[in-house]
Amino acid sequence: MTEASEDESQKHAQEKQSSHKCSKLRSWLFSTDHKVIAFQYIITGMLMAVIGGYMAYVFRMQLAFPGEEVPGFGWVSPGNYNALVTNHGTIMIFWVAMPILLAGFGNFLIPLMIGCDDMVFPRLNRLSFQIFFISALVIIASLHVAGGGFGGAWTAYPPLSTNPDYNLTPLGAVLWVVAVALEFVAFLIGGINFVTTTMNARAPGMGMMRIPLVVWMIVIASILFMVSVGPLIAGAVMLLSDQLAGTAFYDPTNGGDPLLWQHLFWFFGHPEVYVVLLPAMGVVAEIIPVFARKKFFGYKAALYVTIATGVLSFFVWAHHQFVSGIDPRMAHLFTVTTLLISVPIAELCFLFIATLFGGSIEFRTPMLWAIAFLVEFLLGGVTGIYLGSSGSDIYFHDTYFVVAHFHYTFFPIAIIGMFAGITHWFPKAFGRHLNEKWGKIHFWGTIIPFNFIFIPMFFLGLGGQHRRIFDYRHFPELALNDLQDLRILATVATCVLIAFQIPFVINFFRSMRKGKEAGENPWNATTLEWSTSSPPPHGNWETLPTVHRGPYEYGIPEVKEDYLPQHIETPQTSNG
Amino acid sequence: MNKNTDEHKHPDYKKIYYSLLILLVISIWGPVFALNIDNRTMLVGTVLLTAFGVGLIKATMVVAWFMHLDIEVKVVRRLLAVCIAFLILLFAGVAPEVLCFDGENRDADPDPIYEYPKKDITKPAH
Amino acid sequence: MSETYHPPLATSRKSAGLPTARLGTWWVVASEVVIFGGLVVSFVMYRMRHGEIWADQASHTKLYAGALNTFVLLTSSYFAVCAHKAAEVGDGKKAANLLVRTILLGGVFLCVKAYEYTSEILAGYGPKADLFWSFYYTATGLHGFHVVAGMVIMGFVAKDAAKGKFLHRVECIGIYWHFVDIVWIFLFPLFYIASGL
Ligand code: HEM
Ligand SMILES: [Cu+2]
Repeated sequence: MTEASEDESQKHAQEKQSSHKCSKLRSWLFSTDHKVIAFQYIITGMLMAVIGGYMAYVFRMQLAFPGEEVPGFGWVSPGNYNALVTNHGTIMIFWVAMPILLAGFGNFLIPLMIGCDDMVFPRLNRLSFQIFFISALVIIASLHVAGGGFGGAWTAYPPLSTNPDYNLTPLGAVLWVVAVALEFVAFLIGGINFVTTTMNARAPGMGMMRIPLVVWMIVIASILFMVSVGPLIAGAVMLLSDQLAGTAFYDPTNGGDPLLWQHLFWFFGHPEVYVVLLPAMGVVAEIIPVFARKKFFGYKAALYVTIATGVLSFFVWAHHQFVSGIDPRMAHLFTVTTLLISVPIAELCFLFIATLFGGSIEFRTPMLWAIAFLVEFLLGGVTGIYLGSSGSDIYFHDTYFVVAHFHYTFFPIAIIGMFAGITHWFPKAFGRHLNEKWGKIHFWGTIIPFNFIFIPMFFLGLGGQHRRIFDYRHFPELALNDLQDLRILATVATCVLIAFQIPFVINFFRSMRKGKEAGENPWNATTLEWSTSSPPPHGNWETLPTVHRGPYEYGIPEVKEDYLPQHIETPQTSNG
Repeated sequence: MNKNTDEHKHPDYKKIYYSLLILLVISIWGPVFALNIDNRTMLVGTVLLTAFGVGLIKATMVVAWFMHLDIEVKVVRRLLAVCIAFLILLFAGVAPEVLCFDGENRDADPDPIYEYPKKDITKPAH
Repeated sequence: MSETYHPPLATSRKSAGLPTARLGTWWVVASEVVIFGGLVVSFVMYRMRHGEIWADQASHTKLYAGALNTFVLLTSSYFAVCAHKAAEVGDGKKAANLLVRTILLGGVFLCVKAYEYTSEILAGYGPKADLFWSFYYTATGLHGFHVVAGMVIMGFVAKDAAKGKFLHRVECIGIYWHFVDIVWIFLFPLFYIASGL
């Protein structure tokens, strides 16, 4: 950050100076620079991940060693257990995956990759983060109010979520809804900024088909979010009024219908899983060509397939409600659409594999994460097929099979995708390399325990173990020793996984200051962000770049180096 | 063309405004008038047409000429169309469930199509 | 801080073919369309389901007040679009003047609304009287909130416009205001005049 300020234009320098008067911290906190805001989003997201991880640790310990005190928490009551599980899910999706993948990477990458100096509405961007930050505080506060945190699952089905007589958390439930609603508003504002920026502020020459895939995917994800969240915001207003004013929107005895909430929730909820999936896919799509030194296989196909996924994701929501008493004919319909949506997603995975095929692959840490994403996500997607068939889902629904399924999708997205992105763009953001050896230790220390946590859960689910049960000793057929052994295995693996995050944290903060200098373009990549200094100055470039070609020109025989950046005008040919 | 605004021809706003007012009168008068109609289908038809049909026309007029969607770039029109299309989808998917308020599939006396086979399932089939 | 704030170059680019501020406004409108849309879709479903009972309830809303409010909002929209026309030829004073009229009409709208709310509640039709009324207060309340937000923003825009600054914003706030108007155009038949069904 110090070097960069020298390169800034007069105007920005003056701006800096005036803000220097009110302390550095303050100007950092209130900065409108998209890179600073991205950093704030990512740091907040990672801190929330620590909280969410701690919750997972506590309830896993409870399941493995029921009735015993959990070190670092104490005795877990049934109410505690419910609140922990509910808020673990909510936090991991809304306060970890969303801010890091969508808002964090979106903020950092969009202006840098499309070649402009900032978001088009920088102050709105700031506002979006501030609302998000407040929402994070509210969700944390909701755990500490009288009655404890909300324990009615992250789906918040009424009447459990609306009636304090049932959920026993009159305040926690209300704050939970408020926090989620605030978070929606924050991402609506942020999403509008992303979409407008990408539509209107692209560098000269950056045509639609020259936009890097990750930007496309973040934009499509923002649009999906925007279109799907509206009805849920309306639904949340109704839920809140049921909670606070005692209205009957979801109360069947007074003319309402609890199914309405389920529909509104999943009409948002299923597109939402693609909202977080697409940015992670995009990150992988950026990393693979760089480390395979090959042009992305089928750029246009990838784009169309992504759009198809986005559209289809609106047609599948009721597969979460197969056992809610929906009409069986509806269930058939949604089975078909659900199975259909795995086609474009599989297609995308094939495009990744085709890009890898025949490339000169270099297994640096980002590449390891990217490949791990493909492998692990595949398992998540394949198990989705079993759940999407309404017949088999009647058995699987609400068992640990579902839990394992969505962790095989969400973990690759939120954790593997996040680490892939962070390790890939760390040199750009801080001008220094992460330590490669510790990166690999962290990688294997995360991937191996991850599989040991969730593969047992598939078997537990097949064995009939239902979700959201505090103590399986109360159920004779679930208290069997072989099931308990699997639970203990998953819990031990959880602890190992959490322990292996420590090397990452140390590596991150050490490398920020002491890592090897990275220079402008350490990976020899072609997209625009690598054409400015690392870290980029305020305003990103001294003169904004112009684009001359598509984003993935690797392994070209005619040029001296094997790659051709987007901003270079005439290629340096090796044979004159 | 200026950087921040792009100028364009303006329709006669006063005329549009007056036509909107006339439509407003129609949309109020129509449903009130409809109350005198005996035929139920005619009644419903008149109410729908005058209340919602005319409302739709009013909305279209405001969108097209006050918000200038008629001369706006295509992408904006498409994006609004997409939003509305998904709302229709939401209605189409949810209404069959929420409208069957007797609890067709949750009822003690279910629709005959879904009735469980009456045979004793506790005994093996063969 | 706003003194030292300079919009980035990105804001002045136009690769989609329209000014950034307007594009952003359209996205705001699109996201609001689905919010109100979700509410209206839910209402329509319940309305169809409770047919006659709700028709009976709907006949207790005040048709004349709703009609007056539609008239008020349509007129305010007319002023807003005239303000846009004035702003486009650079007449900030006139634009500001017209915007102030729009704001005043927004105030009239809210007064009528307040009168309606009080008399309904006094007559025993509070938010909990029936699910119909819950919807009535939620939908009109959410809409009223948008009216207030529009008035506040319009106040800032008018203040700048009077000094001839940021005239392009007049069009953007206009688009938003017309959208709020359109929401009312749909709420009006839904809650007030379709009582015959
Ligand atoms: C690729 C095709 C996919 C299919 C066919 C599929 C199918 C399903 C089905 C049918 C369920 C409901 C199971 C039940 O509750 O009985 C489900 C649950 C779930 N899925 Fe997927 N899914 C897919 C991809 C994904 C992705 C990409 C994500 C996340 C990014 C995801 C996240 C979830 C979550 C969070 C749940 C559990 C919701 C709850 O709490 O009840 N799924 N999936
Ligand atoms: Cu789903």
